[in-house]
Amino acid sequence: MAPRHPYVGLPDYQFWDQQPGSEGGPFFDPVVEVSFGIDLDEPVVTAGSCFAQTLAHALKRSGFNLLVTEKPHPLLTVDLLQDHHYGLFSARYGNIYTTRQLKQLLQRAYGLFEPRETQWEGRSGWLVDPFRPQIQPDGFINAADLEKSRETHLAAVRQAVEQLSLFVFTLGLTEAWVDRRDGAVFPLAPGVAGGVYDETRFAFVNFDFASVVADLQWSLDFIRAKNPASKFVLTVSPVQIKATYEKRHVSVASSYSKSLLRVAADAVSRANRRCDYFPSYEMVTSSLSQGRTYRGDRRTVRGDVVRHVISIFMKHYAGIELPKPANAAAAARKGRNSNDSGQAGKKQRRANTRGDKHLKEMGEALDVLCDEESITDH
Amino acid sequence: MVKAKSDRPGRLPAFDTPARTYPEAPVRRPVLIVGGSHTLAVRNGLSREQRPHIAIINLRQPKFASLFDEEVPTPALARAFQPKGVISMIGGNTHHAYGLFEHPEPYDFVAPENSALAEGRRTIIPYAAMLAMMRVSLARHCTAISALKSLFSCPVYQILAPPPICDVRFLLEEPGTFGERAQYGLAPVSLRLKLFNLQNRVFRSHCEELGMPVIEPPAEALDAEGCLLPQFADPDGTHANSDYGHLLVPRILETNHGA
Repeated sequence: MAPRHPYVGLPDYQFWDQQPGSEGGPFFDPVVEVSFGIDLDEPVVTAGSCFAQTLAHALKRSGFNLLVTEKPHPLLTVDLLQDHHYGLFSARYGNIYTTRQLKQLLQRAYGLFEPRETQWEGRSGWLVDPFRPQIQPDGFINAADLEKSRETHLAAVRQAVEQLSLFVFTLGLTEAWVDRRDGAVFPLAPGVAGGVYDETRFAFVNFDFASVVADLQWSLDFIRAKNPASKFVLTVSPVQIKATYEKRHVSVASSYSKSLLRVAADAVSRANRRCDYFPSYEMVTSSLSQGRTYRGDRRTVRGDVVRHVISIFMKHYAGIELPKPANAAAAARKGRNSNDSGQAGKKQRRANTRGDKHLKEMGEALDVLCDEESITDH
Repeated sequence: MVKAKSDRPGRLPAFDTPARTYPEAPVRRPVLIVGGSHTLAVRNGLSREQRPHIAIINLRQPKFASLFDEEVPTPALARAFQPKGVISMIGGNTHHAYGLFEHPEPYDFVAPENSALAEGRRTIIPYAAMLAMMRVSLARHCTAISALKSLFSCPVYQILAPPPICDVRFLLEEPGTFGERAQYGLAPVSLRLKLFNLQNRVFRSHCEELGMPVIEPPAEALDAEGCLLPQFADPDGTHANSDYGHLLVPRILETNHGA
């Protein structure tokens, strides 16, 4: 007998009231199926916005083989490595906020694009690389220092492309600043962390859907041409944008940007084999998470939430179940029994952030450097 | 290949005076020199007439241990000496630790004074990373220099260490205490000079913050590249000899305004 209507018999996860996530409080699992698996020893390359740094760090701590092709010389001590961006990503490209930036990084690495802008003067009087202006404190002592570092860096990018098994890319922004002469796109506006803002040379752009998709598809095709077996996971950063140049409220600009990126990630993942969209964005921003996923600044993601995101990633792609965050069940119960903004909720939130040693360590470890933090109104 | 010799007549045995107990009556020599192994060149370079004017304290010597806390000068040093000028020769051989011999993973870096890179397959380290590392390595020396400066109200100067010795191939034949560290060969002279300059950059910057004048290596002891001339080199390959020390003495005494 035919069902009464098309929704009859569909899985629970397709219904808001029945989806299993509602039992898990802020730690729900929205992943239904993945198109491939990953062995822990497969080389993983990550790139993207600040949240990609967070993911990279968490993946490494969880036992994944984060491929690092731009390695520090053994002389450099561990406490210097983060400041100099060693090991935060596979190579020292820093944060890649836009899909155009990713495309141009690949083009530059393979000699397909040579931007006219090669160096900016930094605040300290040293030079900075316009395409990774905060890659090391103070920048570079002279043009030769910068150029040698860039050569090393772009060689490491090529190695990463050709050796990776999985590429995890986190889409972060649609807004960017470009060179009017050749379209080179910068991660930060000129003047923020180096260079001089000159309206005649630099222009603001807010990439539209077609551009974002086209650039992402180009990058995927390019990597596959170099490395046919490569697999892709696309995510969207749940970190709200720090500032907008559009004449609109920053929350509206952020919503627009994230929405566009979310749809673009979906479009590209649907159009390509072995290319998944992984819903870390939803795990953080959905109302199912009960508003408990951001830190006090309501912009950056809490360490235990990142850990949960990674545990879901491991569960579905590597078949490894990690223990649930210690307070998940209790938080879920509290969430059902008390007002979210009430005293009980506050106490629980304090307990969640104070008691767990792992949480504390993750919080410290995840204190990532984010280029966007440099943007101020002065 | 020239093996450097230290042949200054009248060379003194190294710090053979009996151990002292401080505090005692303050030593009233006009100039006090505090430092490590590089003080030996000055000590051996002093003429008989100059000796009464300069007191030299090697902070590594156990007999002076009561004046230092883990090589950082303490107020006991200021109680023991009442000089009119103080010279720091603290630190100075760290550049050798970085690059007298090749590192197992050879490296080089672009420096402000020299962008050329040595031949061979090398990791190129950004200058900022090298500088940061050197700052870390010299931090304990800088702490000691700061402490020394704070202890005395008279002028305090820093003498920069002698530069690398260009030809030290004899170290490969007789590595002595360097042992297996010499197995990868000598580092290129260009790299050794860059490391020396990097070290000096850190010391200069630190001394500038403290308001301490810096005394540079005597130009007459250097070759065209900036290396230490063989006739001023100690046989150990990392220090200067008494002749170099002798060149420094007039500059040292000038710090006492002719005393």
